[in-house]
Amino acid sequence: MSYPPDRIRSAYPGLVWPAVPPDSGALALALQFQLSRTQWLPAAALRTNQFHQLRGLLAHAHASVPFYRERLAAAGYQSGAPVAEDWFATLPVLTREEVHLQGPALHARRVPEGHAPVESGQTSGSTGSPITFLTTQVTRLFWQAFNLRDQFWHGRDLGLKFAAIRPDRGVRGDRGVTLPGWGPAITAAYRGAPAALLHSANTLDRQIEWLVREDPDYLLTLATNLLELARELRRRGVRLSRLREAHTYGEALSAQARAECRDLLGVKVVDMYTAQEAGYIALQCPDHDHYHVQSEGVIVEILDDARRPCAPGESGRVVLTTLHNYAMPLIRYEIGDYAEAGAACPCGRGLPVIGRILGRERNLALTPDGRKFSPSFPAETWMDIAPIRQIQLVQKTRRLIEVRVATPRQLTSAEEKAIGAALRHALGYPYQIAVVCLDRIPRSPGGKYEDFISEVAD
Amino acid sequence: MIAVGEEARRAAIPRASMVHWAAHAISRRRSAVSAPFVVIRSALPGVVWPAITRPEDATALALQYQLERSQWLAGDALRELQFRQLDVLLRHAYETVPFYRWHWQDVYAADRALTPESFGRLPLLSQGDLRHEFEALKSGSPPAAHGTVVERAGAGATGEPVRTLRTEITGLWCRALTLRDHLWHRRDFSATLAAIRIGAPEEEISGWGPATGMIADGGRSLTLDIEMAPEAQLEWLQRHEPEYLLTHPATASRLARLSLARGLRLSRLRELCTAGEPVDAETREVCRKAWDVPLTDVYSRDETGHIALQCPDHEHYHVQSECVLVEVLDGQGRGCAPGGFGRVVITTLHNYAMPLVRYETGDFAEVGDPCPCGRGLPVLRRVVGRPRNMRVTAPA
Repeated sequence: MSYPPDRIRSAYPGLVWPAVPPDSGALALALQFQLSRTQWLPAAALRTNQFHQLRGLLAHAHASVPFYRERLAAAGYQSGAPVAEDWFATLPVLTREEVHLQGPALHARRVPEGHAPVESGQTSGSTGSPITFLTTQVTRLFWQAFNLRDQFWHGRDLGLKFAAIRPDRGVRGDRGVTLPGWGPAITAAYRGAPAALLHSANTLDRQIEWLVREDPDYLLTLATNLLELARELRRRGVRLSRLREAHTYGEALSAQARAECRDLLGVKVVDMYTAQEAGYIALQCPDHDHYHVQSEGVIVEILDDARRPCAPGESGRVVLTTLHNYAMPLIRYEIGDYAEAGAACPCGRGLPVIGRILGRERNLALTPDGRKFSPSFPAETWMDIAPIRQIQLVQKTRRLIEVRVATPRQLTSAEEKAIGAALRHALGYPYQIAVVCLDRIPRSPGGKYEDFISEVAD
Repeated sequence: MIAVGEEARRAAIPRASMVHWAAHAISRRRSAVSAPFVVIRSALPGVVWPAITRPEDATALALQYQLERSQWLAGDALRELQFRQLDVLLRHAYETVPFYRWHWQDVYAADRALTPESFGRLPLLSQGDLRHEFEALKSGSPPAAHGTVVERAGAGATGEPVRTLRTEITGLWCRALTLRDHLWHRRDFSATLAAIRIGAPEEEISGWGPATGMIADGGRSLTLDIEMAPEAQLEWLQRHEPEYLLTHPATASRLARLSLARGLRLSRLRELCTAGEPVDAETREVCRKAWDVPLTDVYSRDETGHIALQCPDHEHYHVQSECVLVEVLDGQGRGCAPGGFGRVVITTLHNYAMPLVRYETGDFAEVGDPCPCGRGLPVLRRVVGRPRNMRVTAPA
């Protein structure tokens, strides 16, 4: 059911259908009215609108943000002038380190009326140094708008039950909480529906016990957690009877992991690309496994090592410009992720395509001759060799990879050799492989799990 | 006990099947691809795109968002939703409107499930009732949240004035359907809209009026009194060269004939929009001959507001099921099948100050087959009625 007409909240007695929603719901649906149309705009028209919006943002950044006053002036910025795309592409990128170092110099001295209150947050820092960021009423509104768009794109029935397992500060312990609705993005306009939340720090045992009891229709969790859950559910022969979709976020979801989750759980797997400091970056296409940039909120560039835009099929660094954050504008912000540019989507949406999200630079492997690539070593390459519960590859040098495996016992040397051979084959290069056995491979404090970490400096 | 009754009522209303939603999702995509892009005016400093509007504009767009989706619902899904709304309205009517309290005593049970059959047993409301029982048709307690109640007088089928009550909510819906009409017909809001209407002073305003207040495409609209001599009206049109002309079919026909007789063309005209009385084939033909532009009609009445809008792809009409329940009844009071011709009977779904339930308009219509455009909104192939005063809905 892609449109739940009878679930829109009505602010007026006697008006059941069509509903006349309260102001917050009207605002949400007014944005959906626009987003439902802008998604079909041709790429060039989207760019024009983005740069129209960018004009005001740059004027504000120049006037109110000390760091940008300097940076934009140095680039020859004329306050309030229209922003030319080719000039914009010459602005220096803002690195995570700069964001870390500049701190309050990146904060606006004031925000326009209607953008307050400004709130402060910090990224989890699980795969890099934590960053302090600011959000406004407006960025939160757009966060909710893209969240709601995601529900519509994937045809979720907003009256069914939603469960999330995530590192949420609001939920502690192993009991989980029941929520009155799917979250503010939905309840602004729609009537509440059953929802439950559990912290992802809970053991798989506990997560499964909780899931079986909650029996949700939709499950949202970190990509690696979903994979572990799916494997464990299958191993135990437990089926989540009502589950109709698994939804992932927060970590790169490889094609293999996606396919494995889909096969093990027997449901559609939908991923999204978000960042706390930048909001929704891309949503999975309703018809394909690739992603559509949320161009109404963010300009996404994917740049190669020479800082030129990548052509479809090429991978590069993700550089973002948030269009509505007037408290802490992020202009050409190099978030630290790698992604593959995609070709225009056959679905007809003009929103640019990201083919794959490859994760952090440190999640990319380096070939012995110094080229980066996204390593793939799906479970079927190693699962039958030994009783391995978890695996993590750490590249120590261009030639040496340490393989950490969580196993109930020490591996035999024959098993270690077989694993080495299997991984060399999967990775496509004759790396030296050193196997280390552990009881458990811990997640980062932010709850994320990296299956490949490169410790090789560029 | 009340909760049980409520559940029983809901349970009795058939639920739309999943198949309908899926079909709707497919056709929605087709529509979305062809939807015109309109620039929405943002009310928040620093945000131009996508726009964050004033609350009243957000409400208008929230309704439009729903209308864009509900139009693709299958006929029975629409019917199910209409009946949910109707159920609430009828209870309000029975509880607060003396006329219905008297006349429905033997045929209406507020504690029983509303079905198409039980609805069909309610008596028709005639224009005579509306004229003579005006006071008894007023709700004793219209919800305060529906806003100020105002009286409106228009001409009935026999030309005698008929009074009705309106609320701010009915006004909201009137504007919503006006905007839907513009969007369906992909009108260019940066262009000039000329309206020749009853009692309209000659004036020019920026924009296209309150229904389109949130649109920032920079167009203008002009009005002129319909009582002016056709020669003066034509001269005015030639002077202003509008892209869109909105008027009565009779006025359009007169102006078209005059244009033909004088060999004059309205070179920038893109579309002729009519409302207020039925358009016959002859009017369509003469206007096409004179100006060679599409003619788009709206079927509305003073007492009920919009009833049906012309399909974006065809000359027939789509009932505005989100606001009115339309029955076309044969001589025996049974609903006509496609191809059947009968009396138009209207129930307004959101007028809580003076609900019109099974109101016999005096108009006749031919029921059409489901439209190939994919919209589930029922089709009226043609509407025939007596000329009456026109209620031009845009610019209001």
